[in-house]
Amino acid sequence: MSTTIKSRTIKTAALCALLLSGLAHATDLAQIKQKGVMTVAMSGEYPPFSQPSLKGGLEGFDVDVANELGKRMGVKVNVVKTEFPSIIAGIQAGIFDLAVASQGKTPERAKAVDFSDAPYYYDGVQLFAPLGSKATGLASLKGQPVGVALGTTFEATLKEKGHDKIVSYSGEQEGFLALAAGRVQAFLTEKSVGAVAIQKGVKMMPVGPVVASDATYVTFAKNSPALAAAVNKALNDMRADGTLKKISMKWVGLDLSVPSK
Amino acid sequence: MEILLNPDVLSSLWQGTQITLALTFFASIGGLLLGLLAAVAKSSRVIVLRAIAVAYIELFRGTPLLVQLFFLYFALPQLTGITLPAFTTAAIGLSLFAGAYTAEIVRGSLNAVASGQREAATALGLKPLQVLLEVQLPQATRIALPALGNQFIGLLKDSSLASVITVTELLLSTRGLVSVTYQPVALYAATGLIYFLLSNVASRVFAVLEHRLNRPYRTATR
Repeated sequence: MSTTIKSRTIKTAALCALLLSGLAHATDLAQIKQKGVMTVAMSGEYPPFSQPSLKGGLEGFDVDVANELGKRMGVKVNVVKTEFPSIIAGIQAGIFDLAVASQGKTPERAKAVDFSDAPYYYDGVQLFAPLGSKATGLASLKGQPVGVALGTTFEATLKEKGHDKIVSYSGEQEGFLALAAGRVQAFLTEKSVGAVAIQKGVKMMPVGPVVASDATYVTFAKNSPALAAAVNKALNDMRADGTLKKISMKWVGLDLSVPSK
Repeated sequence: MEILLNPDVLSSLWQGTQITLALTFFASIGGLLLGLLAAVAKSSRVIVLRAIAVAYIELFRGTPLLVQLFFLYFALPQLTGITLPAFTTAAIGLSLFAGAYTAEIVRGSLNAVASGQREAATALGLKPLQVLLEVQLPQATRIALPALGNQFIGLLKDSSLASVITVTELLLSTRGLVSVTYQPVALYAATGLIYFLLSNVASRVFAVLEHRLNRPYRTATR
């Protein structure tokens, strides 16, 4: 009796260990090639980088970069829309193979995942305020609510600059709504994201100079050297042959594939 | 799991828990008052009162809480020019939502009080308001209690929707922590456990209340 229980316990334990190791295992290139499909995460709420397509699924700068990477690496690409703050945890858990999610580099993120050697676009952090606002920059907004998207480098920047009233929204779109509703006096985000929102009819304007320069990277699980090498090579080729520039011109109307002067 | 020993993480979870409790507390009081008013109005002989009560109950029962909160938070300031703080908005939204459900609980419980009670009280010369407050409601409370307990526990968890309108209650605190520590498993497990413990305490409190309110009935049957 006791032996059966024991062996059952051992079997269960072994099964759990197997499941856990399966979950925790970092995906490297060989496994992705074996599956034939590369799962790529992005927020899907960050136009023009990722946004819902009217044909279904997602489209945007990040989507095109993800598809191009897959093409050059010889695998199909499955783009998954996921909440921005959960992307890194998903990579660590092995749910996503890559993220092409407009992620900037921070020391905390670098501890959790690996970054591509070079950025895939260069941009800047910009403050936006409602039309007619008297704000001249972050300093002029002391004590007033400034919005930002949760878990972003913009949130980190705002904390770093010591702003005293930070309101975190789940994404940029809620932030623009909050700006229109007068919930916040300004919103901090990527310069090109704000510029596209203004083109699309969001009533706001850039305020002050670019707060900080920003560059975004492709991220993937740590200890996946073959995947890292393949991503870096594909990215370099895309920059060299002008594909990256073409994608940038298509979605932003500017060349973000190289740092602006 | 060692993330849960970090004092900053613990204090953030504790602050979130306090806000969740405060939100649930205000919303259940507000919901109870609104529910009482709507229940009485729906049973009223005045057709206008009845219509208002029905419209209120159907509107707030028939739309998702998430949509209601978004509307109060983003649309109301643009329509009326009144901007309430996020916490107040969430407390009002949850009260309105809970009130619609509570109204039907209260109405059902009032109907369950034997009609002889009202007739006897009227025959003794009590005014209609006295009949309601001193005869019908005390008995209806006992009948309503299990359903109100359900409602309270539901509200405790529904308060997590306030996270979408920037109220840093327990769930938003956790999401913030996940976004900086990348430890979703331990953090969401801890948050689930906190909600579970809170609802468990709530159901025990309601069990005690029910026991107390049943006392006269127990002695009567003995």
